[in-house]
Amino acid sequence: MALDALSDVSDEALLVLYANGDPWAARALTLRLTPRLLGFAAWMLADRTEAEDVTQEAMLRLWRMAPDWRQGEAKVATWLYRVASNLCLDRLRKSRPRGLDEVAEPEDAAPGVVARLIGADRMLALDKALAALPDRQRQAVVLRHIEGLTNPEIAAVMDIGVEAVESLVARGKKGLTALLSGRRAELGFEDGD
Amino acid sequence: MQETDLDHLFATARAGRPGPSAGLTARIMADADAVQAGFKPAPIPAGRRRWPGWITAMGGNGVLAGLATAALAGLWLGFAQPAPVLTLTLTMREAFAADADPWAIELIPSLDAFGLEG
Repeated sequence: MALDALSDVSDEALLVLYANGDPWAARALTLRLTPRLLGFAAWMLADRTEAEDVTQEAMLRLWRMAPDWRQGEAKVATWLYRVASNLCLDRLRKSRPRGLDEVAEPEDAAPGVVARLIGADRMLALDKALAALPDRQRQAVVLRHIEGLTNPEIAAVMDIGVEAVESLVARGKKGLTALLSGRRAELGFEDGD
Repeated sequence: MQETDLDHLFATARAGRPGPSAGLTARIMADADAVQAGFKPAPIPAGRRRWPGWITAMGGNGVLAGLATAALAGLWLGFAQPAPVLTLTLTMREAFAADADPWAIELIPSLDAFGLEG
């Protein structure tokens, strides 16, 4: 089945086609899902190389489990976010511990990957503020407000209840507001932006 | 920083999502091809291995199902004769038993009513 003909096919159906040997299904899934995974991993890790590694690893796990995929049990995207989340959290645990104190002086920190790619001061500020949040809060905020997942979808990704998701998102946004409060004028929000 | 400021930042972040590099896409596709090459068709149970050859030669399972349905339908028609056929058979049998003139046999007696009405 050609790539154009697959544009309306669901992720789950594409995965079944891939498992059955369709040569175009993997390409369609890659083009559809990789940007989302990479964006999520980049916000989580603030490192382009690590984000690419996580994205490739998550997709590799998807390919491997394709023959065993049970239709109707989960969405492919949700499953992938879950795998990528776990991979990101593993890497964060192995790297330095994060905390608010660490980002108290953002000028000393290296620019994050997304901020570098977008080249905007606001994104740089958001990147650093997100990096200062506890991992689970950052994960919930990125999934909700940048990746656009619903609270039930995030609950499935994080394996927690919807109320816990709401709490994490609320605390995360409160933390971001506090972290960025002193930079409102600097970021150009005084003109009613 | 206000709630609307944060929303603005999130909207900018959504719009500026970084795209994957060509290298990353190529690596992921190479992984996909390598994994897909290792997939093997499900093994067929020993008892079913004799059939696939001639089933395929007949045109596959779909054709086989059609043939089976047609055969059963023919068998049913043979045993359960429709009423008009049964009437015709009885008329012919009676006519030949009575040694009647073959040209005078009324094969469809019900047509007489139409003839009377003109």
